[in-house]
Amino acid sequence: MAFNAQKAHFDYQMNCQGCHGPDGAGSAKRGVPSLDDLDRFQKLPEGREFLIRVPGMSRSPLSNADLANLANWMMEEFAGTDGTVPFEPFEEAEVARLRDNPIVDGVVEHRAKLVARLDAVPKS
Amino acid sequence: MSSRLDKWIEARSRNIAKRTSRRGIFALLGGGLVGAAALPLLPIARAASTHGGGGGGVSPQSTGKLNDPGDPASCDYWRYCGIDGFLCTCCGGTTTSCPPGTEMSPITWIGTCKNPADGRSYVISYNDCCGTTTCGRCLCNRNEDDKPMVRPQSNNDINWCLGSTSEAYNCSTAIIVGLATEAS
Repeated sequence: MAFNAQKAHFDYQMNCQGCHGPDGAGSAKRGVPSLDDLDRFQKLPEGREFLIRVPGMSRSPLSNADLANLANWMMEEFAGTDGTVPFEPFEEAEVARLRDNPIVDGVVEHRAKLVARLDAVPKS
Repeated sequence: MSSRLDKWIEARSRNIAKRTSRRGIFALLGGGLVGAAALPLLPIARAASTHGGGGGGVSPQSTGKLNDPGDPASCDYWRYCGIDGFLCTCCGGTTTSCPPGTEMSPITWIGTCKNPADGRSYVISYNDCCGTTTCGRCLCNRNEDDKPMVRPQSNNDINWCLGSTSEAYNCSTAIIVGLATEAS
């Protein structure tokens, strides 16, 4: 996959690691989600969109290109895509479009509803 | 040229000698000495020494490494460029470990600091130590790279102990987690 891993890792450390941890495990106790199931978000278009619209991503100080690079790196680093869910890398233009429509309020409820729908998607 | 200068200096010296007392200089120097001794007693100077120089009755420490220079028990130590809290090195811990009886917060505030030894920037994780009451020694608040609350992950005023079993904040570490690929 085309991404700059060194740049992505630095951007992750500076913008995400504080809460999601060095291994992406998050903090269940404090409602910080783990990043190890990012691949299931690819099962539905709104799931894929969520990964960029979520406040930590959409409102980060990173440029669209850097955010796309980070998202693609995270998919490989944490999600462990096993091929069962096809993943098309994020492009800069797509990231730019999704960031213009960020999730601002109720992100926890939004995510819970989305995960329920993702879980309901039958295995292909 | 030089004789003109000599004459001029001689004239000036004689002039000063005529007008001033020879003991006046001691009075002036003495006044300066007393003043200098009194200055550190002023509240503002005391606050500054606690703020910027560790303090709290903690002796200077050393990393023992040429490539990691400075006193880790002092706010001036390079890794503390973004710190806001009590130094664990003054509280029974180190820059990378918590004092006994406390727990390291898994979630943390992260910034970059430049190492004066090699001029490179490193990613520093200021993991808080939690579980017992505030340490109270070596308060440092340098805040470089601190961002407002709109980006909570970049704000160091947060009590990062909210990720631990106990939210009681004791002190802060400064752990190198990587090399910064760019100035941030």
